[in-house]
Amino acid sequence: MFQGLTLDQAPPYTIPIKFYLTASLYLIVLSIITPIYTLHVYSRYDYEVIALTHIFTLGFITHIMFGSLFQMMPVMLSVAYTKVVKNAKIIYSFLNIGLSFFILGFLTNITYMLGLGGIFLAGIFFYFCFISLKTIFLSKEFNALVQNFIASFIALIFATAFGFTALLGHFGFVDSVKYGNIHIAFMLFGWVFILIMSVSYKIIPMFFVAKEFSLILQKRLYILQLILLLLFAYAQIQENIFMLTIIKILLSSCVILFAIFSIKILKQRKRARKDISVNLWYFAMSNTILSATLFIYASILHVDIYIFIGFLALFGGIYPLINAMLYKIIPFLTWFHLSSNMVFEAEMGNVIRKKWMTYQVNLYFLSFSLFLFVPFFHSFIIIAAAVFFFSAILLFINIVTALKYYNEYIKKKVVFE
Amino acid sequence: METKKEIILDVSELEAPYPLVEAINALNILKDNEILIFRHRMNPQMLYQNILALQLQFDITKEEENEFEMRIYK
Repeated sequence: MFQGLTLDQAPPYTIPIKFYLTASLYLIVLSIITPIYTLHVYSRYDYEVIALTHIFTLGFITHIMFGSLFQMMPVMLSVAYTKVVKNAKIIYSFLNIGLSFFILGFLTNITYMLGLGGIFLAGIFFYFCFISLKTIFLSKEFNALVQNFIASFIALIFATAFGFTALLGHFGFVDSVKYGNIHIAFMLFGWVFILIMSVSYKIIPMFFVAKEFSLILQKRLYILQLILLLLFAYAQIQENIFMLTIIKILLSSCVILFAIFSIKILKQRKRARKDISVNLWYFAMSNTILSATLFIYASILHVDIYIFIGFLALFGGIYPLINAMLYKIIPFLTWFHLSSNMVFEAEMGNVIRKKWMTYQVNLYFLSFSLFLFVPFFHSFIIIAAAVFFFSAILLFINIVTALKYYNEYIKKKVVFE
Repeated sequence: METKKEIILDVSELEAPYPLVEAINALNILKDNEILIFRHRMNPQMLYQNILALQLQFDITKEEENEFEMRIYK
C-alpha cells in the first residue's frame, strides 16, 4: 500500500554515512592516542590536551553535525543544499586535511602545520556557514527551527573567527587564552548547544512520541544565548571579571534549563518503552546539568577544575547525546532512502541490531565510569581508553551494518521504464 | 456545493516514521468525494512534497503546541 516518499532533494545516502563512519574512526584514533599523550598532562592549556580535544570536537562532533545537516536540512526545513555532492566532497576533504595538519601541529609543536591547519579549518567552516545560511534563507518558513538554525550558524561564524584569532596567539600576535576562551564559549554554548537544542526540538517529539518543547523556549532561549555570548566576548576582551562571572552563570543556567525541560518531556512521553537512546539522553542531560553547575561553582569560587568540567560536558554530555541521536537518525535515514526508492520491505527497527547498540552503549558507560577514577589513579586512563576503544569499534561496526542493510535492500529497487 | 465524506486519520500517538507511512497510504487512496482530516502532534514537514506530487489541496486548521490538524482533498 505504502507508495513512497517523493523527496527528490535528498542527497545520496552515502554522504551522511561517510561523515558518520569517519567520525567513529576519529573516536577509535582518540581512544588509541589518549593514553599515549595524557599520562603526564594536568592543564587544559597543554598542547596535547588541545590536540585531543580537537580530535573529539572536529573529528567526531563536527563530522556528525555536518553530515547530519546535509541530510536533515531537506527533511526538517524542506530546503536542500545546492550541488550537495560537490559541496559535501569539498567540505569533507578540506575538513580532514585541515584537521590532520592542526592535530599534528599541536602534537609535534611545528608551527607552520598549526597555521596551515588553522587556515584550512577556518576556510572550510566559513564556507559551510555560507552555504548553510544561503540554504536556510531559501526556506519559505521562518519558524522556531529556522531561527535556531540561523542562530547556531551565527555562533559558528563567531566561534571560527575567535578560534583563528586564538591560533594567532601561538605565533605571538595576541593573547591566546583570552580569545581561546571566547572561541570555546561560542563553540559550546553557541554552535553546539543551539544546534543540539534545534535538533532536539524536532527529534524528541518525532521519535519518542513526546510533547513538543514550549514555543517560548524554542523562540527565546537562542536569542538570550546569543546576547549572552556577545556580552561574554566583550567582558573577556575588557577583562571584566565580575561581568564574566555573571554571564557564565547565566549561560550555564540556560543550559540547565534546557536539560531539565528535556528530561521532563522525556519522562512524560506517551509510550514509555525501554529504549537505549532514551537512556543515553537521560545520562547526557544529567551530566550536562552537573557540568554546568560545576562551571558556575568554579566561576564563582575561581577553582581550576576546568579539565574535569570539560570532560563531563564533552564526554558525559555531548557524546552520549550525539550517540543517542545517531541511533535514531541512521535507521530513519536508511528507511527513508529505501522507501523513496520504492523499497518497502525495510524496517527501521532492523537496520542496526538492538543487541549490538546495547553492547556499544554499555561499553561507553563503563569507559566513562573508569575515566572518573583517573584523578585518583592516573594509570586508569589506559583501561578506560581501552574500553572506549571497543565501544568506538562497535559504533563503527553498527554504522557499517546500516550501510550493508541499505546496500542489500536497495538491490530490490524497482525501476519503472 | 458537494459535501465531501470526512476520513479522520489520527497519528498523534505513533512514532516516526509511522505517521508519515500512514498519511501517505491514506493520500494514495483518497477519492474525489473524500476529505482527509489528518491529526498529528507536529507539523509533518516531509508530507508536503507528497501532497504536491499527488496534486492535492490542503488547509491547515490547527497548529498549536502538540496539536496539528490539516484537511487534505482533491
